[in-house]
Amino acid sequence: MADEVALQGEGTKTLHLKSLRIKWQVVAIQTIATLTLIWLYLQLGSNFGACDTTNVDSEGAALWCPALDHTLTLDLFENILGSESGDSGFDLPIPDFLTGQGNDGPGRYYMPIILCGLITAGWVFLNLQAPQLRRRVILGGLSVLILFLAGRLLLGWFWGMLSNWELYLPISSDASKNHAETLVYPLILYTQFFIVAVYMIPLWTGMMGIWGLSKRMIGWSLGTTLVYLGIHALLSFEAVTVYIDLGLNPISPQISEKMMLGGLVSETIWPLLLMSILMLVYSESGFAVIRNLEYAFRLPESCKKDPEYVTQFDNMLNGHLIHTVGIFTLVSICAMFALKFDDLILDIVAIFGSSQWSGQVQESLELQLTYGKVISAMLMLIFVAGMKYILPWQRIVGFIESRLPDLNSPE
Amino acid sequence: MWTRKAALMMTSGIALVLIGMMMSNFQLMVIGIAFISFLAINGWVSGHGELHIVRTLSADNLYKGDDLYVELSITNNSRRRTQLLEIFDNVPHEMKMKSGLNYMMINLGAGQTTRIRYVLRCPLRGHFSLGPVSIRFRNTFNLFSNEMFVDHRSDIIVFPQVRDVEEAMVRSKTPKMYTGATTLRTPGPGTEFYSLREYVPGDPFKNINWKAFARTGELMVNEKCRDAVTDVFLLLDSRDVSRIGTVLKNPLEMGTIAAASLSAYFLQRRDSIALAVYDDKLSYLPADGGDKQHFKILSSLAGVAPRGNMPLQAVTNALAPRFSRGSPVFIISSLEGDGTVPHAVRDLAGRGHEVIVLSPSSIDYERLVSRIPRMSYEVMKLERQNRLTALAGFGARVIDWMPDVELSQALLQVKMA
Amino acid sequence: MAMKPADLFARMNTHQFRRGATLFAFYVVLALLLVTLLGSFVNPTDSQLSAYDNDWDDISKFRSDLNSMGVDTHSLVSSPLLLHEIKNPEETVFIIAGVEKDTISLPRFTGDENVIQMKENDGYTTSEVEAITSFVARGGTIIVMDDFGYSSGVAEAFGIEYSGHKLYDAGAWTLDYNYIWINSSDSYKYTSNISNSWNHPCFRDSDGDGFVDLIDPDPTHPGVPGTMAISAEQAGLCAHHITGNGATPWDFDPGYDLLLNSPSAFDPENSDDEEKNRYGLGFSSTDSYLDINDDGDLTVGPAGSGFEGDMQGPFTVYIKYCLSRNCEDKTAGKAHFISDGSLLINSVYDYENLYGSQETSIDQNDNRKWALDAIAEAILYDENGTLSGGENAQVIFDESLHQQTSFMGDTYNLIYYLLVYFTSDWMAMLLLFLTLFIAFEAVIIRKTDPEPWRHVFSIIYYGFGDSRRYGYYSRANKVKQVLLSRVRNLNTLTRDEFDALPARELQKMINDPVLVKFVFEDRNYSLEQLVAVVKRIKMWGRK
Repeated sequence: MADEVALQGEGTKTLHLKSLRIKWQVVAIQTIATLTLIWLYLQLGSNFGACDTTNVDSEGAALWCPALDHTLTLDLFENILGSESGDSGFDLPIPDFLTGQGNDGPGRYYMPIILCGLITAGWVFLNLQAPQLRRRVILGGLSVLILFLAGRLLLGWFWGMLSNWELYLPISSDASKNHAETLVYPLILYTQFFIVAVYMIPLWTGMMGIWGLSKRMIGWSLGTTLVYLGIHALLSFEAVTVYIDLGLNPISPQISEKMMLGGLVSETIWPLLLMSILMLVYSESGFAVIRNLEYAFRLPESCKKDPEYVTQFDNMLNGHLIHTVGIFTLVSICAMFALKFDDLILDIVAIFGSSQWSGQVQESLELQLTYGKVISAMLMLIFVAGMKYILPWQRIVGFIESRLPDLNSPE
Repeated sequence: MWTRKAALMMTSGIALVLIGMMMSNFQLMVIGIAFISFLAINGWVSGHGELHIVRTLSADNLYKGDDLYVELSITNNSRRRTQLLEIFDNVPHEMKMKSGLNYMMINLGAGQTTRIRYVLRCPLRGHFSLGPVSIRFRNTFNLFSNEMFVDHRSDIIVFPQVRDVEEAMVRSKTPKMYTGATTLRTPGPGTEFYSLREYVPGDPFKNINWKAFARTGELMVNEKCRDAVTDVFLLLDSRDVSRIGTVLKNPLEMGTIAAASLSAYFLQRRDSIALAVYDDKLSYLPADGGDKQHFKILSSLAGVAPRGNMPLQAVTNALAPRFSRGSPVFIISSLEGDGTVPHAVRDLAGRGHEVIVLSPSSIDYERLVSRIPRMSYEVMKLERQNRLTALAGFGARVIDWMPDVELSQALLQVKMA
Repeated sequence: MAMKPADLFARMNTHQFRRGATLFAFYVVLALLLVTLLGSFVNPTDSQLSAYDNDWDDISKFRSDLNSMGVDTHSLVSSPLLLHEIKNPEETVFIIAGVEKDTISLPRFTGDENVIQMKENDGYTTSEVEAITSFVARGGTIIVMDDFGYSSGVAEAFGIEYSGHKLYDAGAWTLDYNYIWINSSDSYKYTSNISNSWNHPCFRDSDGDGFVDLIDPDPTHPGVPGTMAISAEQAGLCAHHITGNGATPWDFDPGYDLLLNSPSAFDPENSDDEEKNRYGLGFSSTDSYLDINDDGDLTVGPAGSGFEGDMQGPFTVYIKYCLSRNCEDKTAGKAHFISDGSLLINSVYDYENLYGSQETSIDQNDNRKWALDAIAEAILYDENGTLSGGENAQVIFDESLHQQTSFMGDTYNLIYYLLVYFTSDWMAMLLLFLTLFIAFEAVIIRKTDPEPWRHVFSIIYYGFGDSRRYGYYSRANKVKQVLLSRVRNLNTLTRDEFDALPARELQKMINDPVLVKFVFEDRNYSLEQLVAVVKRIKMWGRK
């Protein structure tokens, strides 16, 4: 029906990337993603950051293993260089307090994490600058690195050739003409930095992805984490350790009887479950920010200024925040219940009385091993998924959400 | 429906559980279980499309090239949140989004309303329909989606453009029973001067031209043109061959513009217009005048599409009883692929109609989309010239309408035998 | 209304009917396959020899004895492949008591010149047998009690073969010919006449004070008072050695009188072999016969008569295999093979009581003592000063190849079996990997996300003419036709008038030598020439 149609309105709040970057919901989701990433890394370090206690040499000294602990590799590097140089007190150029060398537990990771944060902040800040300035800064940085690497060598070499008044190569058995030694310090420094950077790939790529709005970087972060878990699983697999035993600490197949969180989850399972949940929260939050901002970015200019679009965008972000908290809490509880479901199965089987089958099931070796836990967990999850058709969850969730206070009101 | 992400997550979850079992690695199993648990819980939350949607348009009918303002008001009348919904107002692809967007992602609380406003430009004539409104629930984490639609449609008609036509050549010689605006080229009671003639007894005394009498010494009277309404017949060729050219420049498109413009012109002069469109069949709109007829003609022209191959003679034969005697007949046709045109024109002219053939140059439209060898083009043009000359020879006034020539300009280039 | 045959054929010819029929046929074949498959797994006969059922022919009493002695018992309902997962095999005993059915298995890679083995033995799959032998190699103990059943694969892995025939013993039977005694004065004499029973925790008493070393406060000094004070709790896994007799309070007798029920015997060619650590510790009497011809009767075939007679004993019915010589290494794996699946059934094991429908009382026997001694020998491997099993000590009963009393039980076991099999057997794992890979590929290739909605403005449309006619319009004849039409039109002639026109008149009308030549000369024209002609025709019209 033809009628008067108003034009799109213009409000004070817009959906331009510049203003969205400082929107509290966006920052909140990014902060959630960052914190879960850091927590995930610390938890990974706690679970996979140590070698097997039997991984020692004949003198009882701990050996290197590919655990998620950069200090192990740095120690190895330091020892190799120390023994090569004959200096038992040899120290790597970057001080220990920055790399975490010498610390135990999560203390090994704190400073590298802070460094990753600072580097990310710098990188994101640089990306916000004009392309010309960005190019200049990058070129400047590279020049400094190259100068630091080769500057002393070149200066010393040219000065040597001038003072000796002859042409010679910088590598010589004559100490006065051997300038290659000047390369050693920067090379060690770069190697040390490289080692820390390699171990911290999930962290710095993740942070850069979250704050630099790069799906590719977050993909790298998740990919490297999963690859590490896969490699760890493979290298600690018994069929592999028979041939190659690198001394990794395998995850215990026996599930501890000790419970936590009010008897909801076993102490063995909790860190593993926590890592899985953190990985999910991190990836979902990290990608969600980019997905939502992409939507806003692609809107035509008139829609970016339209208060209707702004309001609905706020609703979307609020919904995401609520679901992040609500759904992941439920997912955690559901997974915990699922991994505890074997007990319930035993109780149910016991109801059937003392038949041959119930007796077998109650003493089943399968239920003592992870097999039983996992199969019963899958059964529980099938049940949970099926609940969708029994209970109108969508109505319940929608109704609860409708009763939640409006997150926009304080703004 | 599961998204690709959900399907991959499910497959990964199961694979991780099984591979974990193979490698006796509980971590992999737990990740797998977490994945599946994530899917199971997310399956509980789904959105709904119980929305009240109202679309308001700035106009129901508009001319080709005009802008259409659209507002879509969406209200969540239920008592729960909609969850994340994508709203997409289906707009015909022939319309251009001038400003705004017909798409919005919403998450409406209970009782909330939002509005999508956008402006469309309509470059093509036709009957169009906006809607239905597509709704897609998308899970917050992009795991599931569910598509719905609200069957709310708004119909609009985009009329062909109406251009100014110079008052030039249409003069019928046959009087009509109704008095009207078009001056017929026959003497009779009217207001416009026609000629001088000698006085015959019975002529009204007031008609004597005293100046002429003074000059010649003989009684001369002024004859006036007779005021009358005439039926103008427009025959529009909508056969399949009329589609040749681009979407905006082809014989049919130009023909609709010409028909709309001529009808507007004549109706404005309070003449009656009849429209016959022939493609695979004949659609005939009997002669009438006024705004209502104008609307009918424009609506009819908005809907024509190239199809069929009905010969012109079949049209003229079918309409012969309806043609008013001596009325002008406009034939708007590229004249391609119809061997009956000369006969039809000869018949019409023979019956005393003034036949005006407005012929968009089909070969030149074809040249816009195809590379015609120069030689072939010249020969085809010569053949077309022959055809037009032949029609002129039958007494028709022939207009060869080139693509880049305005209608008013073209109408002035009447080719007579 | 009755359907005509023609209608019926017409309906049968429809695509829908054919599709429906194909689907129906597919599901029928699928159901048949499933039934055949399940038929090999689910066998609706009476269940027996289960450690979790209490009939006279089950072995639940043995299990409850173990539980009361503080040993954890477990059932294995899926597959012995899980033995790979056992982290403390030296404290674990795996008991196979009667194997009643076959398993589902895939072809397997052999690693030899045959490359692939399509057919598995009955009973355990090769992977399962490997898991069992690997378990023994890692220090585990197995007790295999079977007669004609499906455990031949396990026995063969240790170089033992079942004869597959029933054993009759005229010299040592009781109740009826089905019950045969196997008497052994010392079941710990392996390679010499010196008993190795000193190595058994329930027998070792270094100072001979009647107080076994593991609980003797000073095993090197005899005469520690309070011998009678050994409680069942102290005696732990050796509690069955407490006699309750004041004179001989502890049973130090290393001999066993085992009562077998319808036993078979091992093939004499492949049975005990001291050189290979397979010690024959139980034999039938010299009056025993193997029913080689399976006629259920004792038949003697004279030599050269061509008549196959039964084989005369003695035959080996109990073999003990140890990884270490004379079973001296207590942590090394052991395997006990007895050619009778019912050695430990409740009615024989617990001869003092009657079970279920049992009416006949069974004679006193040492089956219980033998079984518990075998368990104690396996579990009490370290010198920790106790006769109780360690924290990880466990006995696992293989219930995977036992019939279940309910269909649900069989299904449950089947599911577990499939899962364990597909995550433990290399061929099955390969197949599973392939399936997962294909599933991934299928998801990646076939699964698409819903298309993003966006308005596409598209009025791209090309109304092409018939391009084939372009060539026709560049022919000389067509050009000639166009010229003649032009001449006719401009001279306002009808077709008939024009056709009747003399050539001279026409030449006059054209009045252009080039065009006249073009009209009247029938020859080929090059493109350039035609172009020139066309140009001339255009000019001609304007004259």
